Amino acid sequence: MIRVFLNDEQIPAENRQTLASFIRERVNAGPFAVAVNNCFIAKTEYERTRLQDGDRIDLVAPMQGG
Amino acid sequence: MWQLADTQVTSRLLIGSALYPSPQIMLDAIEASGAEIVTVSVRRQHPQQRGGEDFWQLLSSLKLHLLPNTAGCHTAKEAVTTAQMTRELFATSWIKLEVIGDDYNLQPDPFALLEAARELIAQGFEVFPYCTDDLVLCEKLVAVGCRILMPWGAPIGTGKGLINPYALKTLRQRLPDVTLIVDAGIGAPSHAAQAMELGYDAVLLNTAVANATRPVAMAEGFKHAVRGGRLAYRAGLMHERDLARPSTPVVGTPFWHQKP
Repeated sequence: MIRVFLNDEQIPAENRQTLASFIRERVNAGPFAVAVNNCFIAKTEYERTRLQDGDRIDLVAPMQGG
Repeated sequence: MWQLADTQVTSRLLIGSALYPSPQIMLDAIEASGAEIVTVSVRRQHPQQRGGEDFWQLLSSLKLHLLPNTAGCHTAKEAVTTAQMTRELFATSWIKLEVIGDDYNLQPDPFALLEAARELIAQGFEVFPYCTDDLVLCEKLVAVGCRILMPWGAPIGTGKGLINPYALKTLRQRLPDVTLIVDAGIGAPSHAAQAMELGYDAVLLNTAVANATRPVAMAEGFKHAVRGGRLAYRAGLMHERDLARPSTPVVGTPFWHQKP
């Protein structure tokens, strides 16, 4: 097992787990976009992105803005 | 109609979607403003909550152009990553590029802004940089490929209006082919009209409407002010003068040259 941070919350994940698998397990949030370690990951790359210990995942959604 | 980036729009008022007392007032105010472009943002979303979905459905119901921003970013890297996320999320390559350099007055960091603008344009974005009214910065933003500039009227949310009309006027004169939009600091419809009278292509505002006592009515006020200011610019304003000049002809004035 490894530990990753989803929006700063520490969460266990399987070693070398894909981002796609992680999101399927952990996310149910409507429209969203993702960055890992401050780098944008396109949806088309989720299957090819493997998580590593200490990865920081940012999950963002539409919000009001000025 | 006028050309904004790759799009033809009618309204010259761009409006924000934040700070309204309720979602319904936001929708009504946007409609009353006549704006066709609405700014939006992204924030962290709890992985098991669907709050963003509700807002997304509200936005979708408007059927307007969305202009995502990078509000809250302090580095070029943060702004570029945020822009990439908004492009996927909102399905638009438009980005209102904000890179804040000072947290007290939310003044843009000109160096990081330029760096981010260069990178995003290389990646195919249409960059709307929120910038100061500094001529040299604006020229450099144009040099890296910005077709649109959004200098501030005053710091975000202050409502002070155009604190440096001279600088804004200079930008208009020196950059005649660039789309110029005053962004931030507008507090009253008269400020918006002033920006338009200077020849600015449009005005972007949020707080002045959202924080008004009656946001929907204020939105309509801004709609008319922007139109009025644009008409005045196209009509050609009279030149200001220091000495009074009577508007009523003096020839034939009764008692002319009679001593009292």
